[in-house]
Amino acid sequence: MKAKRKGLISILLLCAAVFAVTMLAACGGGGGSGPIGVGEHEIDSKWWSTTGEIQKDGEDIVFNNVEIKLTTVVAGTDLVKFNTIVNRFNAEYLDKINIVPSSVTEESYNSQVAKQISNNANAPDLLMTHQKEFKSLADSKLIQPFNEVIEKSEIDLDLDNFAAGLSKYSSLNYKDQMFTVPVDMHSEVVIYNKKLLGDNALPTNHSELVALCKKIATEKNITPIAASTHSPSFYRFVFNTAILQNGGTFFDTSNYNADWASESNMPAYKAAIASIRELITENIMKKQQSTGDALSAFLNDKALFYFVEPWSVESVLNAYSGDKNDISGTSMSKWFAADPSKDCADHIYGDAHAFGISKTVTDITKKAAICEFIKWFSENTSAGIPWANAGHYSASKTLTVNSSYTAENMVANFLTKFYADIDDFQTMDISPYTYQYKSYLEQLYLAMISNDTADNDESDIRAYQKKVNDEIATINMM
Amino acid sequence: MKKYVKHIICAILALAVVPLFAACGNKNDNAERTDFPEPTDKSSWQVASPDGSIKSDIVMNAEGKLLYSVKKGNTTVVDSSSLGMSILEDDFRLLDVESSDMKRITGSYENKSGKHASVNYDCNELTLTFKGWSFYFDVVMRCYDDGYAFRYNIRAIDGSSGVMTVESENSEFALPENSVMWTQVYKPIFNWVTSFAYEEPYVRRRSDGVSVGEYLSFPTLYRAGNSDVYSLLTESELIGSGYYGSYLTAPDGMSNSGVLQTVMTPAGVQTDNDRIEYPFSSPWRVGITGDLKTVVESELTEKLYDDSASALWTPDGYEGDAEDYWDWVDPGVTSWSWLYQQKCAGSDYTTVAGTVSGKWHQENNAIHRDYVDLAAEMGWKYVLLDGGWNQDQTQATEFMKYAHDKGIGVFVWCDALNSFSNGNADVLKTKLDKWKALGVDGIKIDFFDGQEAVGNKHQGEDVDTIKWYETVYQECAKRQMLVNPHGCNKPTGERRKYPNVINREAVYGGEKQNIPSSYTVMSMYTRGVVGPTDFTPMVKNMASSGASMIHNMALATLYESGAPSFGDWVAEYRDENVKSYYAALKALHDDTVFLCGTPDRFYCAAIKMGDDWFVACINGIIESDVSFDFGFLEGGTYSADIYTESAKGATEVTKTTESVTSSSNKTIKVFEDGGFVIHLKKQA
Repeated sequence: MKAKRKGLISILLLCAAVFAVTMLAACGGGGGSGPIGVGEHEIDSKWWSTTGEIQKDGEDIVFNNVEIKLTTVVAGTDLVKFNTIVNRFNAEYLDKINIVPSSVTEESYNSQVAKQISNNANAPDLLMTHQKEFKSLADSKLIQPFNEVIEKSEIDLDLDNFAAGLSKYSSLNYKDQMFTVPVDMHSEVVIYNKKLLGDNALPTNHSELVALCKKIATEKNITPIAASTHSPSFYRFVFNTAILQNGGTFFDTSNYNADWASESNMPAYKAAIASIRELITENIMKKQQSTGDALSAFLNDKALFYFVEPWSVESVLNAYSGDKNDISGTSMSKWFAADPSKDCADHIYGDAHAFGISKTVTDITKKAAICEFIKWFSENTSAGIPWANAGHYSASKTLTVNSSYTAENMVANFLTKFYADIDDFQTMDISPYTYQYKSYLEQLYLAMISNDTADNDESDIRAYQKKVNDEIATINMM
Repeated sequence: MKKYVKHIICAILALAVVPLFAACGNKNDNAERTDFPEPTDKSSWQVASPDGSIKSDIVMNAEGKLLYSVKKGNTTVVDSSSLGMSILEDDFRLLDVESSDMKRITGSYENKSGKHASVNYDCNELTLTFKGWSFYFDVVMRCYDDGYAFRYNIRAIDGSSGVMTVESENSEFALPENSVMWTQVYKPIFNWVTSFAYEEPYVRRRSDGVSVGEYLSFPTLYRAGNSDVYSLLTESELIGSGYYGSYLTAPDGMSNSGVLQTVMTPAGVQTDNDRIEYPFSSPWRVGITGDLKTVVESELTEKLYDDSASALWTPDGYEGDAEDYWDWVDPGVTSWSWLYQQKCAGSDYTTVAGTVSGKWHQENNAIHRDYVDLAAEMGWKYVLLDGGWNQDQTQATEFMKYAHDKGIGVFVWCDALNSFSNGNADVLKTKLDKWKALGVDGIKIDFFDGQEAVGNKHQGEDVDTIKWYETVYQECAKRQMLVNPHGCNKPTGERRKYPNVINREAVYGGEKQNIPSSYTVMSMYTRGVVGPTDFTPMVKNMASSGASMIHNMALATLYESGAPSFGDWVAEYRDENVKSYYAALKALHDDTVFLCGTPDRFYCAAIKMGDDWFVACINGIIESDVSFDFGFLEGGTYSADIYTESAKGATEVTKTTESVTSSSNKTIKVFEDGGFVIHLKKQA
């Protein structure tokens, strides 16, 4: 059966998003009361429990057909790769540990998982979702920290072995707690055609990008950038990257409110959309190009650059009928910065997956089995390499310094090119309202990009700032 | 109201009624055999398989609840589990035993397509008839040497017909402690619909890890406790039953208990889905049971259709022999271009007819002619045109002639609902007439899952969809057209009644493009057991990971189908290294012999096609040395073309040739995602 898309989906996803917010706000999750205030918190009383004892055979923990239900937010073309990795683990741990994966889309994830855990009905044991989503789950007392099981099992899950920019969020602002383990990072990425680039240098800032593209457009009679400017992956990652590169932030960390129209953010947001708009008005990039047309243009040597989801890179390479060595990756660092000399001009905005444990898991051996899987996933190239080929750069330093890992084509020629300096990779800071920021940033982008001039940008920014803050206020009233 | 009155009466008289069982007649109409075990008392019964290895006990306990259990030898396969149905119009909670009847059913039939050219069936059948207020309720339990099956009949005592409301089906399977399952968990295709087309991967699960509301699909395989006995749960005779498709879940309040209950499909809106016509015979609830060899070689899902005379459908007024009615059904390998177009994504590509733009090609006759030529060259029988084939009627007419002139039949794609006005039988008939006149030989009919449905009907496996399948089968049969359902439910043995239903999707297939080997291995022990499988293998994998080339060759050999769709580009099949292999493959498997493997590791079987044998193995993740013997061969010496790969992920295969006899044995190393195939030809 062939997949079909329906326009109705966007409306339904919006409804799901609203439901997700109200669900998390409403669900007690064992006594929780929804999002809590800013700053670091102490846990006064545990909302999770632990039963049983860990049995060991020598140094090894005895796992006897322990079944772990894992619900992942991975739901695209990378899902098969993820499931294959899980199946490899299951094969290696046959009759010891069995991971049962299921997938829920990003739009439904938190509402569905929160409901399952709150009701202890078909609840996942292990959660794998975006780092930014865990804060609200913890505040609703639906997940538990790793501290106790790491201590009792002696399974080494040291956060120092993970990218610092991601592991710094693992506490979710709970003092001395480790609620999440980072998995990977991803953004919208850029691949290019070496044949079309010729002897030209890759651009290192916005003006060079525009100049190069104009030159290529004239010489080759093509539209140099293939991108679906109205696809979620573009506006979720590229627009947010442009905001960061111009010094913008997404919310006020002192009160969680969006401050997009503040004195510091307003220019950043305006510069961000201006940099993207210029690519369209200068005929470097088509407005609202379909994903199919963008792909077709790149595959047929009709585009120099192609903005693509990282998990699609492999399939693009497979489909490219020419020499695959003619395709490589590059970074969009500084591409959208009005002032390339600023440190922030190098920032790349993206998402990061992380693991977390449901509060419904009580048995210590099951908790240890979860840690065993996470450690295996974080340290084995048999997990890391296929996950890299699915477009996900590992957050584990154990892998990123492994020579087999770094020699892999996808890592060497694409992932490390996309994210040249891992410290420049930025995710959204910790907040219970990341879903709201994301949703209204998307709407703001679509509103602004629909205009060919900047005339309405300020009013749009103010309007959507108000909308998101109104929604946050509504949530806090519930 | 009558129902509640009866509840009260039942409660008061419960203890008094139980002894009445002793007085109830136990009519054992056992004219064919006399060696059935006598019931231990008048509220317990037993039926055994002809070889005595499988036994099912049925009891009515003091509360009037019907329970059954199944054993294979000394191994418990199903612990004490509920039987029964609840309907609004009667109360079956405390029934009077009307009669019991035992008979033996034996016979044989010839397959048009299947795992074996001919099939013998032999079972003992126990029918227990209970009497309610207004209805008789039968429990029919059969035991074959390769499994058991039960169903329910409900009919009005006054002989009338009508519509009843099913409140629940209470069939349960209490799996032994420590049982491990391989199952496909229900998950909607998209966020915005509940449709399900059985295209999820199978996963390994503990039987005691299933929650209420978590739906497992049929077929589900499990290993009984720590034994070597396996049982594949599925349903049969769904099409024609007037019932909805069923799933398994934990009964209310019994999460993680190891007990699974048969429940209504979770897909679709299910408007009036509980309204079932009577007299009624439910689909069979089936447990194909034995060692893995017994399970994977079994055709029990289709054998349940009694003897051939009554099994085969014929239209009203047809007075000839039923076998003759279907003599036009001709299985054959099918060439198909659609998947190759997906492989090419948006790239332009070149055919012998010239370069074609990287867009949609199903309206391009030059491409289709290449696939007709390929089919003719390979000795295959069909070509399949996918969505978009009928944009130009003149062109379509010309194409049909081109194909038929070369002896190649034509399948065309259509939408089960959209193409026929959301399930309008008159539109169906009109279009089938038109297509038949055009030269169409069969339809690949898609989206039965209901994602294209308008309104609340025809979604998932609701009653309307199950009836629609049968309407399509019958109307196609009347026009001598083959049917290949896609986006559909699992096979439930319907090919036995409608041999024109020659193929079926309901599998995580080649169209997914990235095919993990662990998925395919598990599917061989589950989905692949119960009926034809349109997996649509390629020659070379569409993704850079997953099933290797040799794995794909093995898949093309192992998946049984009356019209397997081979989806790669014509040039791949013309590669001299593999051409003779693909040309030798046939749709009808004359014999199937499981050689070795486990659901978590690999699958290896020997398949007889015509005079030739093929041995094919697909491996999962762990490298292994696969050892087997050629004891399945008849006498004489065979030339064996052995295709292997030299390393993990190889994009080419290596061919060697040697001679073997039935006393030969062999060990072949299989890599991750790999396997091997062997083509055996008897030497003169």
